[in-house]
Amino acid sequence: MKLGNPKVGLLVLGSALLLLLGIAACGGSDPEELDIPVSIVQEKMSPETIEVKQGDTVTLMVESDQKGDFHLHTYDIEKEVGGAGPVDFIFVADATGRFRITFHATSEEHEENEHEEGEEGDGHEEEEEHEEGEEVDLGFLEVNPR
Amino acid sequence: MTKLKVLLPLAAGAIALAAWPAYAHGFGERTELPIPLVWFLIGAAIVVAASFVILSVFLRAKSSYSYWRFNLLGVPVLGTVLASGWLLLPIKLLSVFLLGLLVATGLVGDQSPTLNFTPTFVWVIWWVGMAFVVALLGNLWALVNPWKILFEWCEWVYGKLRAGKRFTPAAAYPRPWGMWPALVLFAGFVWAQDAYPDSDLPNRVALMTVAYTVVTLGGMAVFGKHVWLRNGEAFSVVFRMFARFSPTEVRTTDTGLCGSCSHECLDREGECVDCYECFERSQNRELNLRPFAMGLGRNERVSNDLLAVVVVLLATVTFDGFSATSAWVDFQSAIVDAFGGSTNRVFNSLTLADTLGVLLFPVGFFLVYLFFSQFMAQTVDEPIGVMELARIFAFSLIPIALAYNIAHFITLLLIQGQLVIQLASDPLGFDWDLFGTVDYTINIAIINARVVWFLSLGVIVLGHVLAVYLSHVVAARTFRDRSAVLSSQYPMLTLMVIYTVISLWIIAQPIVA
Repeated sequence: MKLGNPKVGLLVLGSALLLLLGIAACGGSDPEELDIPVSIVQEKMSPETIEVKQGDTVTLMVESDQKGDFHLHTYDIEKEVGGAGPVDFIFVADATGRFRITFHATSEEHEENEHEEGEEGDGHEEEEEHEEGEEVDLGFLEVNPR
Repeated sequence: MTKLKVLLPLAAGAIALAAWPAYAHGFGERTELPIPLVWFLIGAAIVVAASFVILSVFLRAKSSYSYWRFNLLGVPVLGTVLASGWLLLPIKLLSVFLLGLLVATGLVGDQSPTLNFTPTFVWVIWWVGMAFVVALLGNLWALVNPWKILFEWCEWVYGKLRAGKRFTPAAAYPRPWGMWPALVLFAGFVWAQDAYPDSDLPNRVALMTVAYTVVTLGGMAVFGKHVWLRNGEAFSVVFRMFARFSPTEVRTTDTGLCGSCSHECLDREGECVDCYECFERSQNRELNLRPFAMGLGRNERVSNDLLAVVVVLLATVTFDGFSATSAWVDFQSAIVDAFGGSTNRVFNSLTLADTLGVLLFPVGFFLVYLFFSQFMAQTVDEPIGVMELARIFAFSLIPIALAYNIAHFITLLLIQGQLVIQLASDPLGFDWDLFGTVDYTINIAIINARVVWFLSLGVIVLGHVLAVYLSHVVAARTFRDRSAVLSSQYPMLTLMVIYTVISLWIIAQPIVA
């Protein structure tokens, strides 16, 4: 192959473009309903990356060995997990992307604080809350285009 | 009780501040999916194939450089409207108002980054958005630069107070300084973006803005408005570089003026393009439409400081993306292991790692570029130095960086940028609702990943094609010998393919940081 030969270049260019169009056009399966068990042990999530496809109706059944807030960023779904049984997060994955999931541990005392909040808690207790639970990264939800 | 009312929000703010996780890389949650491996491979194949096709097509290119232009000021009604200064007044007022607002909200408002106007406006809307506008439309920054406008107002007031006198700069600008002041200031900005852990905190952003305002107004007062905008105002320098790619230019046709310009603005073909100083004074002005990237191929004198600006831009654009890949996180971990963790929020090993990246990336980039320039010097066998080759070919790499920048930021701009709709109603985070938009929910499905992949790949391939074209234009006017024109392009083409494929590789990596 001689460098700078337009025919060879054009041939590669054409076939690559065709291949790309082919890939872009494929897919197109129907949306599914997915039940995905998610467990958090010592602030580690498994699976670390939850993969779904756009349009799927997703139920994350989240179990945790520790009480805390499970937060799916950008979709902005947040609930407390780590109680008696798994907590269900139900949503339609209509936006593609790779979304951060974080966990923010809470404790029994914190819960009490929350009840007192209406009475203008004096900042001191709230500081304690901060010391108890830093927000940690658990992993990602990947919503791939269908 | 009243004391409590003041202290409580302050305490809450302080806690929110402490609890907020530190994001380096400016600000804004990244949500894009990496392009799939197959797309990356096909993209790389297209880039390589397109390079050879272009090379063979442009073999017959002429050595003179001219391009299609259309003067918008020559259009009957539109021309009059564009030339009228009064139209600019509301834009200028808005720009200065926004500068004041972002400082005020940053200092006074709620200190959690997403509840305050300042971080989103500065990092997403202004820095990312302005770069898009400047590269894709034209140098809007030259028009809305709030420091320039403020200084012009000061000059006007000065003229009123001392009737008949015009403001004169206090000192002559030392020539050897060149654009280095702008480069140093820009390096500081890049450090804030990519290494400074508190770059998302409203009051830090506001304080940095205040400091930069003092430096910029001071620079203009001491050395003169145009001199400082050309050499010391980092964003004027950076956006002017991006605007060379844009489809608009300002041109002064009475080039006799250029003799009294504070800068040697005429290029080697005797044209005065994108010199705002001459444009401001001239009566024979053009505001032209032109094809993309043409401003990067003009026959200009490129000085070492300008080369440095280009290299720093190319390197930092790439570093912003690279620093979010797992490869960089591995490097960070190595640095943390070597120097130990530290509890200090700002001065820790992580910041050290990112600081090293900000400093060493441009150096590494320059060495690689120099290596390929050396390679080219050996190939062509003409009496031209390595540094001269490096200088004259530097602009041709810009389209690759800009294309990558678009692919890298499009999702952030479209999704995180929507935050500004809420924040406009409640810029301070005080539960206001000025425009009734505070409950706006961000449409996170505004752009589909497949569209982003197509757009990214398309833009990156186009950027590469333009780069190869520009490099050929430069070669055709530099080397007399036809075979030297062709052979000079193999080293350059290799470098460009490597640079483009690195860009593609980065957008094929999941963002981890």
